[in-house]
Amino acid sequence: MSEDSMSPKRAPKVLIVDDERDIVDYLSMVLEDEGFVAQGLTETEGALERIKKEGPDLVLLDVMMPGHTGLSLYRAMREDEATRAIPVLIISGYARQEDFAKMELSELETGSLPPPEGYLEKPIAVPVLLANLRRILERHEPRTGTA
Amino acid sequence: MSPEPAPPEVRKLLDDHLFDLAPIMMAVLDPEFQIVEANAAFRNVFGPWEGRHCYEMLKGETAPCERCQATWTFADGKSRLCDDRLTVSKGVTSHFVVRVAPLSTEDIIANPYVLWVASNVNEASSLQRENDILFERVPCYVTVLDRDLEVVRANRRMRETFGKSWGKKCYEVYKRRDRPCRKCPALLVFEDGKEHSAEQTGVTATGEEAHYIVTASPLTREHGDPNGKVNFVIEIATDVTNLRTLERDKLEAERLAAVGQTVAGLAHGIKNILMGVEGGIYVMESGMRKSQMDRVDRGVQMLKRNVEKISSLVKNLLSFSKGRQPSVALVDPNAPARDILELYGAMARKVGVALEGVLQEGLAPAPMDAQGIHTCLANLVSNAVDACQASEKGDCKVVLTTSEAAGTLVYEVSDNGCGMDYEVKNRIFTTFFTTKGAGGTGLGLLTTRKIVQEHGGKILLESDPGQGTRFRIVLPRDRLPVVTAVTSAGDGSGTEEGNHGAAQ
Repeated sequence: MSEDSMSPKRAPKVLIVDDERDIVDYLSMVLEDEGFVAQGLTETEGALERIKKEGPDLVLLDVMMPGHTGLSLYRAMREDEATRAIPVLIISGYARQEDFAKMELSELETGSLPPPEGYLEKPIAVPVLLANLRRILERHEPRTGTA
Repeated sequence: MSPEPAPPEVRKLLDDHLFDLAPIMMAVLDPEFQIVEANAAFRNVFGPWEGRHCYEMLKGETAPCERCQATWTFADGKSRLCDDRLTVSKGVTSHFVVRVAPLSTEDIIANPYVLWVASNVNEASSLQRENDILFERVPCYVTVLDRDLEVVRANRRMRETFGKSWGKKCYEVYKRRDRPCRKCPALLVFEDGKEHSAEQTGVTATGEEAHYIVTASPLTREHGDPNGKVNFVIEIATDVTNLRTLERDKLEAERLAAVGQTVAGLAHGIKNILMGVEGGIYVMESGMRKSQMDRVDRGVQMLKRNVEKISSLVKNLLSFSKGRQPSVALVDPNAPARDILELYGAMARKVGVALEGVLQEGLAPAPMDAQGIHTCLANLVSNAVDACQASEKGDCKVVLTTSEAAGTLVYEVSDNGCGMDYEVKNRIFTTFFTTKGAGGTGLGLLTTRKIVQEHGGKILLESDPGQGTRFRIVLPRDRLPVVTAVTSAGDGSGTEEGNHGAAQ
């Protein structure tokens, strides 16, 4: 299927968290077509456990979701030793930098919460998504390399 | 039988006492203007008088005054009245009314003394002056009305703002109308003799609207009897036009802000759907490229779902934008609440939620957009039912309450459902926020808030995760909109233009 850019290593695993089933399906398909291993979640309940279990190389996270919002999940990930180092790419049609800027003010200032690795605004053009994913994954190469 | 006259000794005693006890200043002058006798009041005010002349004591002069009234009285024996400024102590003068009369009723030549009597009117005249200044210069509209509601006195501010008022009826001057206003506070004062206030809208001499709060008080009563019929009323009105303008501007700004938030939220909603459409196209195209019909089919389904989402968003948007001009009529505030209880009762029961109504009886009709309030309550009640369904508790219920206190109508929708955490609470009004994922449009509460703001009200929220939620729509009656539609609730007042009627 995809023996192009990533062939020497194992396919990077990306976990998509978005409450819109269609978007999860779409992004999964795009990523799988591009040689990633994609998994999708449509709710944040139990998401942290799932992330711990799956150990993805990157999490694509929608920040606006029912119940516990994506922001809460992001905070939980950063506070948990097991998930702290997993890069996060935020996707949303709304509330991008501003929301994180607010978080930065109150929480990131203490140094306990690092900012996410990237933000993408919906709708996301496929090339832009792939470019961002690859950029972030390359930077986090050492981590995947140890696997 | 006339009583015996008092013996001469008693008479003399009385006269002596009167002279000294009288609270006015009295002195006797000889033709040289020397003071030959004076009473205690004179001494108290002007000091020791023995051997002194009136002009030096009272005027600080060295010779008789130029236009001395006593000179004339010495000449013709007639009494005279004048007012004069006299020195009461070193350099300080005061205002007096002075009467000069021959001491003897007989010949002034035979008995050449005059009685000089003075009373201090300084206090009374300064009080009068204070009153005049107060009446004229106070930054209020002040009028005195007789029982025919005719203006018998009007102050400067009144004349400047409403034009010549004297002799006209108050309603002509204030409102350019030809008959008394409904609930006229002055008429109420004439009726019950008590003070009455009202907020009113009038028309100035230049044709501008003026909003004022007027207080009418009894000024005088027949025969001075404290319980007698009021024959004059004083009306004091404070202009609140600027305040009302500011309030209106603020409401308008709030409305505009709501529109701005709506547009921002709308962009978010559309972006999400757009992403779904792009996804559908991608899935369909890649399916076609790979000749995988199931993929094509999936793509088509995604497209269909997102087209459906757009059409429901547009429908909601239309209902959101509809009623920019709400149809306001006098309605029973309980009517929309009863409709909602009826409409949602069965639906709630079906999903195991109890819907209860606690409606305060006897609420007066209020100018409202009944359809709008209906929409608000429908949104809140259906949200509450959803919250109950999302809760793990078994016996969930939703209570819709209506009440009024201190001129403020309150609709309350409370539930003991799942409640909201801090983040959700902070965001429910900000955009097309929804906690129902694809199941909600995020427009319900926004629409509700918009309608509440159009009614000059506020929507308040209390919620705790796991405990439940309480929404309150608070509508102060004095901020409710003006009636724009023919009334449906018959209290007979619908055709009356009311206190604001003369504005047109």
